[in-house]
Amino acid sequence: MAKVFDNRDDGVVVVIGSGAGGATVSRELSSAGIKVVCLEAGGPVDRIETDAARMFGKLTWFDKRIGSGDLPADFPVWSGKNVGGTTLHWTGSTPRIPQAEFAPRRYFSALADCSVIDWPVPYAEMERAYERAERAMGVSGTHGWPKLPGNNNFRVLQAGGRKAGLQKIDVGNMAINSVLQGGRSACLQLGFCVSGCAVQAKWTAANTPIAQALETEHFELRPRSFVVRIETGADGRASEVVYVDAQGARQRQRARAVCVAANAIDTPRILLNSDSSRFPQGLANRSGHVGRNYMKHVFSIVTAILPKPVHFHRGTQNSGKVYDFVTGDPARGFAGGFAFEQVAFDPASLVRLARPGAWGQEYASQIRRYDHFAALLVMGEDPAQPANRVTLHATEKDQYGMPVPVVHYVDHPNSRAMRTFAQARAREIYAALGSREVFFGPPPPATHNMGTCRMARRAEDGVCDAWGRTFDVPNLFVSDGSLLSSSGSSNPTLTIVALALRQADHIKESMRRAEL
Amino acid sequence: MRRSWARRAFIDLMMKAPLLLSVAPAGLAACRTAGPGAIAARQRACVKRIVYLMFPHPEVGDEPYERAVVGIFDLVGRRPDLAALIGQGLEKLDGGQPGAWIALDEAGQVARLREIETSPFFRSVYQATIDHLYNDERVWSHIGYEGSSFEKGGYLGRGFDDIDWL
Repeated sequence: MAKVFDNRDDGVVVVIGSGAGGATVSRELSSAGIKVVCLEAGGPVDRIETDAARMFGKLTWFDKRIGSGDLPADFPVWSGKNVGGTTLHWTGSTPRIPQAEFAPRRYFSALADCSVIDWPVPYAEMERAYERAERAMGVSGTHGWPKLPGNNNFRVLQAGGRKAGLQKIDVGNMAINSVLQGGRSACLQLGFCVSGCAVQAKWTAANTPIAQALETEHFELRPRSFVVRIETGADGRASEVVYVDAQGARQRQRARAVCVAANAIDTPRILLNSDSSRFPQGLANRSGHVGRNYMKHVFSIVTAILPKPVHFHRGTQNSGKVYDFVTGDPARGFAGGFAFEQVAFDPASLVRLARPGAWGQEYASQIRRYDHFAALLVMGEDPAQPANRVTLHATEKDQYGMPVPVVHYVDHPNSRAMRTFAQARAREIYAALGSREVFFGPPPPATHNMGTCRMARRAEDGVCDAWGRTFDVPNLFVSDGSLLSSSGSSNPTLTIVALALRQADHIKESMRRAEL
Repeated sequence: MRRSWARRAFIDLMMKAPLLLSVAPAGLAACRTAGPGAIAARQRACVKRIVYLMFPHPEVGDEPYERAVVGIFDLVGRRPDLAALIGQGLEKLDGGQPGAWIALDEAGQVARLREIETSPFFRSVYQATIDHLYNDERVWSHIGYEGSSFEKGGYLGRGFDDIDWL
């Protein structure tokens, strides 16, 4: 049975956000008997529908954010605002970041205007955490769970890739059940993965860790609770979390410790808005790195019209990967690597993403062949740049009275070179099957948001230590994608869950030693 | 499901503005008439033509385009800023002479639209057009999108891996 905790109870750990990171920490701590209050900005999702447009309306964070640089001004990133966070929207792809990408300075150190660091976590520890995360999420393709079957879009990617000389083509590891397990159905190939998964074959923070935490006696979920500030006491520790509740009233929840997991835009936003005389640059921001080093992967959407029908909308959207280019090669003219991941779109999304802004006779005749389309996403490693960052708008405030976040991002020249190379290789895949119409769309608003409160070996290089504990405030943790020291070329959710599992262990151990 | 939702919106609008809809089919002629009801009808006829020229699928007939226009004006009814944007945009398209644009031949209409394709007016109609036209089940079946398979047990037994020409 779920508990209700008093706002003045200073024995609770307050977790901000119920996405992959926040839900995992909540589950781990509450199941160990530690009191947890999880403040979630969004509400519960009442019903999942197999309708992309309607679910977009239900799952998306629409509060005002301002994009600058290369980002769309009115919708710079794509994240979720609901119980379960962005995991309702994610595709379920759960690759591990390969070992070499935990030390990106080896290949990125020569890039100008960058702030690339290596990870402070030893890889052997990451491997153990990855194993636990895969088991917790029931990742198909790992630990004896069979892989998902490839769908039509995958078979096009596989056949074209082979003809183009590629070898590492695979459906990949997916947090989508290939068999019934974890109380969740096996995948029925509905094809609406990013719309929530109506049969719950896809792991989400809502259907697994939050559901598990709610079964304990030690967890309270407070939906529609929008955090605006974290207060610190005279001892320099986080003491209270200020939030706006569903009725619009300001509330305060005392805290023994605070874990911020509000996505890489809102986690630094909350810290920057929690400035005080002790922390004039924002909470835990003595390094100046809070909000900086924002990374989102080097993306490009590649769509192609094949000579015969594909029906790429049938089945799992993202279960097809090409890993031939993950290991970088300076001979290609850029540093770092990238993966290809198959994607599929409903008609309205395809029209927007294949040739953004296009219209008229020619484009309509191309969309007429919707069922002949195949598509993939280029996903490359994004080097950290200090100028790519989240800041607070000087004057503009949102409906909660909180400064609107400004997200600034400009592609590094290395990333532009990588994208051009990757697009040419992608064209070869589809051309090998006879496609003469291959389109390169610009990067979509990112769902992979990383690095804005990164882990580092040294306090001057980042915001958090190897456990995600902030260097400046001993009982303040960051528990989401903001933590990632580098982006790698892999979807970040598995890594977020793995880091949250490690962090929860560390918090439990610190509490046992009465250090927290 | 979507169709019934669209129909509800359609009926909603009919209840609110019976005159407006009864004038709308007058099309081109209405574009040259004045008066508040006629202005609304003229706007609808012009927007419908723009929607068609953006994404012409003549085989689907008139109905999806009519539904898209109903959807767009439903939104316009709730968003005064958009109503102003569309009103001003159409005036500019006509170059100050009501009815001038729609009187052009197709090539002329398209050429004029190309000139304004980066304007906020055009971009707004463009985004709304994609939302409505490409979420219309008649258009879906025409382009080969099958929509939800949940009710039928998913695509697992319905061709998710049936490609046979590779």
